Amino acid sequence: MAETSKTVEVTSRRLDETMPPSPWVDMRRRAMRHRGLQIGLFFILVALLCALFSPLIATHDPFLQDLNNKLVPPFWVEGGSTAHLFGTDSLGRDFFSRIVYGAQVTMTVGLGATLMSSVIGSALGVIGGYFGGRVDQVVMFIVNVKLAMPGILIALSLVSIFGGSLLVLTLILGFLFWDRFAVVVRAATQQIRANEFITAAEVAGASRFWIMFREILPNVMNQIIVVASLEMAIAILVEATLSFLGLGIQPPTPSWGLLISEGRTFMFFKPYLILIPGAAIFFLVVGINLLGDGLRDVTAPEGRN
Amino acid sequence: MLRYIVDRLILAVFVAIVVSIISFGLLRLSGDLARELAGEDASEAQIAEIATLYGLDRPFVVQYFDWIGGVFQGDLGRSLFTNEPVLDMLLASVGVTVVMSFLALILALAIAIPVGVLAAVYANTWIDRLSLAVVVFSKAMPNFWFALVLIYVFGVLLQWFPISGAETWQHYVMPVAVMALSVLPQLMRLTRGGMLEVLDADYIRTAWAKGLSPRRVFFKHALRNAVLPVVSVSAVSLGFMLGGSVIVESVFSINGIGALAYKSIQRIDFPVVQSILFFLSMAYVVLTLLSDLINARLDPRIRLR
Repeated sequence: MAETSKTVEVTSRRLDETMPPSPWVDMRRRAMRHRGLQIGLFFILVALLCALFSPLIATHDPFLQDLNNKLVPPFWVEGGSTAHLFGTDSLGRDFFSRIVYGAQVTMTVGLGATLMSSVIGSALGVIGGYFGGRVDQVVMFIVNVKLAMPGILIALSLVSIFGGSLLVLTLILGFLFWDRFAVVVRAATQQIRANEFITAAEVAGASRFWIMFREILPNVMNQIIVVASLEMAIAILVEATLSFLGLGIQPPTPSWGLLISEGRTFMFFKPYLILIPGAAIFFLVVGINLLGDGLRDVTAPEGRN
Repeated sequence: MLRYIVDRLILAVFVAIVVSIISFGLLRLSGDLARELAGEDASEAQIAEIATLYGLDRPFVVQYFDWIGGVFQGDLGRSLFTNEPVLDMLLASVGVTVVMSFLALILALAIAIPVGVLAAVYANTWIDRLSLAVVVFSKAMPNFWFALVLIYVFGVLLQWFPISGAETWQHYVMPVAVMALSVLPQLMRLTRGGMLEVLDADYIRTAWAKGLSPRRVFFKHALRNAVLPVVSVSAVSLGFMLGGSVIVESVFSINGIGALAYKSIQRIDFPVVQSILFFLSMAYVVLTLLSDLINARLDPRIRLR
């Protein structure tokens, strides 16, 4: 008995060695080698940690004003100290803590808006791609209308009506950037639809709903995730822009775009007030883009050029 | 060809109709525009008075047809705040925005096409990697922040360019650079991708086999086909910059159409806002229509489909 089990073990090891790696293992290997993906993941993790554990990471209360200590420069500039790592703003609030708390706004809006737009866009894309014909024409018509409207101005108008709360902003941005999901998912669905397993499901009597969401959707998930990372970058940039223009997140909530707008008055002699939050946005968005490009390379290596 | 033109025209007309309804309805989404205009302390009588004054007490459909009827006669209504005809305000501000957008498109193409072509011809060399770095950089750069950094470096430290207004050509340098950066990555990737695809084609191999010089192969045979998608995206980019000009115009204090939209949105000057939204969307519709027609003219595969 002991003899047999040993043999089985040996054979199974041999099998492992001779079998080609499973797609999943293969993907993981490619990910381990992909420098851009790792750098991107690192930047995103930093921002995510700042957002999740703001009270632990921040050194001060981000709302606490200290008028005796306003416009203290960051510690690497002369006159700065490690008491305020990034210095203080024009009301004496600790700038490092405001940046850390700002990650909450950025990540909430970025993730929330992207989730919402991926649902809207993917649903439209799958429906258009699966049914084709008239239904597809209607979907493409909606996408065309969406593309024709100037997004930033629509967002500004909606914020001016409904106010600049976190929820409203997330909903507005989620409603504005679904077009690429629709276009990509539609194209992918059209390809998958021609496969035999779809015909098999149809013959087996599966409902259209089942086919679209249980047969097709899992197969376009890779593309959806890649588009989602790129759209999240855009959502974050637009949130920062709206907050900078004063029709986004309202003070005193720290949003990186708002911090830049507040620091603008002092930028000529305190440039760090706009440089630090700007750099925060820049590196996060670079990270998200690197992650998106990396995911595309790792999940669909044959598609890259 | 005729069939294609007619199809595209019909689509454009339907998009225009829906876009006009959205532009008109957007600021009315709050439910009661008169109440918004009257402010928080207004009495019911004052609200009713405002509603009657601006015709807001009529049914939505009546108001819409009243407005769109005026649009066809060149009458866009009057501003609630300056009492100027909206058409005059539009015409006074649109020029500078159009000039900036065109210059930015030319600048972006002047960089994107040569760099994109070189990146494809020398794929996977340092030139290719440099172009990728430019793309990652410009995609992640928040427009408004880039504008502020330019102002700080070239306006304040070096004093090369004036930092606000649009009087001389020097005023245009920084705003145009910012706008160009916003569309540069897309155009560059597209040129590179198009060129890579074309260089792989059979007829290019034939051209090489005939012993043509590299210059003839790259410029005469490859580039002409590679830039086809760039032509259509250029038109889209132009529309995008017209709609996104609000950022550049507010940072550099330029009185273009974006700044007018921003000011009007803030004070709920709805006759101005709805006309600008409609005008910018129509600009986009016409530009994409033109680009489709140009593409069909250049590429027989499209017009004969």
